[in-house]
Amino acid sequence: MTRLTAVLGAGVALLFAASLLTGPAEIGVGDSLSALLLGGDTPAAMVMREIRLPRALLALMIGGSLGLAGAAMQGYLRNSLADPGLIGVSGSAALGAVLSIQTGVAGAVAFSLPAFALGGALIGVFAVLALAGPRGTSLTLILAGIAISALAGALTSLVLNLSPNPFAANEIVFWMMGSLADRSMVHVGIAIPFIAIGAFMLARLARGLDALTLGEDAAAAMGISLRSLRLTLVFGTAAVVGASTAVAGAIGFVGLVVPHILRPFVGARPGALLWASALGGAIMLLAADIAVRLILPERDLKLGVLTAIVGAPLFLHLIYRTRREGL
Amino acid sequence: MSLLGVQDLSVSLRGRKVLEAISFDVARGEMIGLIGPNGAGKTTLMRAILGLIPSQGGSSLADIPPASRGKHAAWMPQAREIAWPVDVRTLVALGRIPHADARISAQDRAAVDRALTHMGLDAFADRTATRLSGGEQARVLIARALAQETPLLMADEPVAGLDPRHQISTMTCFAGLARGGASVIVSLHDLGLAARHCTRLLVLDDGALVADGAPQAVLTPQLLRDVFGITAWTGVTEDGFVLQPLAAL
Repeated sequence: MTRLTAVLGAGVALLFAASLLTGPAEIGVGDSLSALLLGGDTPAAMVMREIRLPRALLALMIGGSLGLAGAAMQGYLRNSLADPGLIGVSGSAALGAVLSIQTGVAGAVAFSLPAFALGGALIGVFAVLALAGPRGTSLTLILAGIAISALAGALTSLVLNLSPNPFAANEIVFWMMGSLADRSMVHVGIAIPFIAIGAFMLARLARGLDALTLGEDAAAAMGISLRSLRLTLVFGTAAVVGASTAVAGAIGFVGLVVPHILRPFVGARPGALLWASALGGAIMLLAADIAVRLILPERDLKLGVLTAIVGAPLFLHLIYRTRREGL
Repeated sequence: MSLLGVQDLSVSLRGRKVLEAISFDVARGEMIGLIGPNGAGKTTLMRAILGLIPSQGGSSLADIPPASRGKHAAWMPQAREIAWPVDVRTLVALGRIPHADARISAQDRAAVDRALTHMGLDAFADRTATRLSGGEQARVLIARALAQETPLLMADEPVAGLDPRHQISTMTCFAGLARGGASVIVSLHDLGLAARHCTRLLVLDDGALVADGAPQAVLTPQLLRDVFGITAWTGVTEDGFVLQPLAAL
């Protein structure tokens, strides 16, 4: 367990450094690091501090968020096919962002896009809780999440459908693919409070999620408040996923695949999986964000497209393995 | 000293009275069998006593704040749920959750070892719980409840699906706990096991407590006919009171 943490931590550190050293501006390793640490008015310092550092930080934060939220969601629903997007937050955050692009507010007012997306996530999470109730079973939460996701998806399609402006429609489509290109330290500043609070909430669920291994009734009899567990899960997930979607767009498969891969390494304990999965998510997203810059440097390959292309076959393989074990 | 007091406990689900004014007390060292036909309200009664469902009237356990109830009573639900492929020792250690505030202590580890030994699971400790047979899983879950080391243990049909040897050893284990000063409430359908291993039987019929007492006093031909619709042979042998169901009426 501690060895796993050390390996994953080293992987995160290594990939974070690699992310800082990857980019079209050919800056040597020594020059990059001195420019990053010492600053100054050189172009290298600008590139390092204004372009690469926020990008690497966002990959770290968002990857960690998605991994953590995925592990928490799978632990709560006791289903390894659950995904943090299941409760409809990413869908409603995307709808908020799309509305800001479509209405032109995003172009007129700086950083209104992430603000709209966060607003969308907030409305989405309250709609889900209003539908599912604070003390229903996990099934009602899934159904409410599916309903809100479907509604947000339909409204997003409606906006695209009726868009009189092909440029806005184009921008929406590209934004929805998810990317960390051209983000600034302001994006980091917008996301960090929500991600910090959400991650703190989700990390506190370990004991309750462990108890849920025995089912809701046994967990409740051991003194776990299912009501507060559910509220903490929903608000924690909404905070980290809403903030992630607001600054990076929709990035799929990280929250689904990472907990699934790491589960055997923590002895399947849902509580221990939380942090392992956060580190694993950061690794996956840092690696994917390096890959999009190396594979097609001049074509702006979108991060969400890559995670889906890599994640879907990986997931199919996992399902195949699960099926074979089931026989 | 009374471990549990239940006064006029009533439960209504969807506007239908499921339990009607149940009252009884549980002292230390009792091995109580909760019996009754399907749908009599056995599970509902246990869940209401634990405060897991809303009820009218009183249960001394439901009055304890939820967060510390787990130190007073262990609950083994009928649904034998093991959601993740954890190893047996980890699963049994979940029973220490009500006691452990942060890290697993030496005391917790000792309790887990005792529970594993009690259920004869030492050889299984490192096996994956979800890959065991149904009966083995049931024993692992009983060990989980034992590891909680509470004064009161409540189990909903813990011996259903076990082979005869493990049915008997489980009931003997519970009876041993009761002799050690804890109290056990088990619901069960096997009247033979109930007659042989329990010190006291509570009989539920259609949501009402219709009998409460020692097995020999409770399991009369009239009660077996009225409540269970069966006839049975009963007798006092050199091994104690024995009941063998014979025919359905």
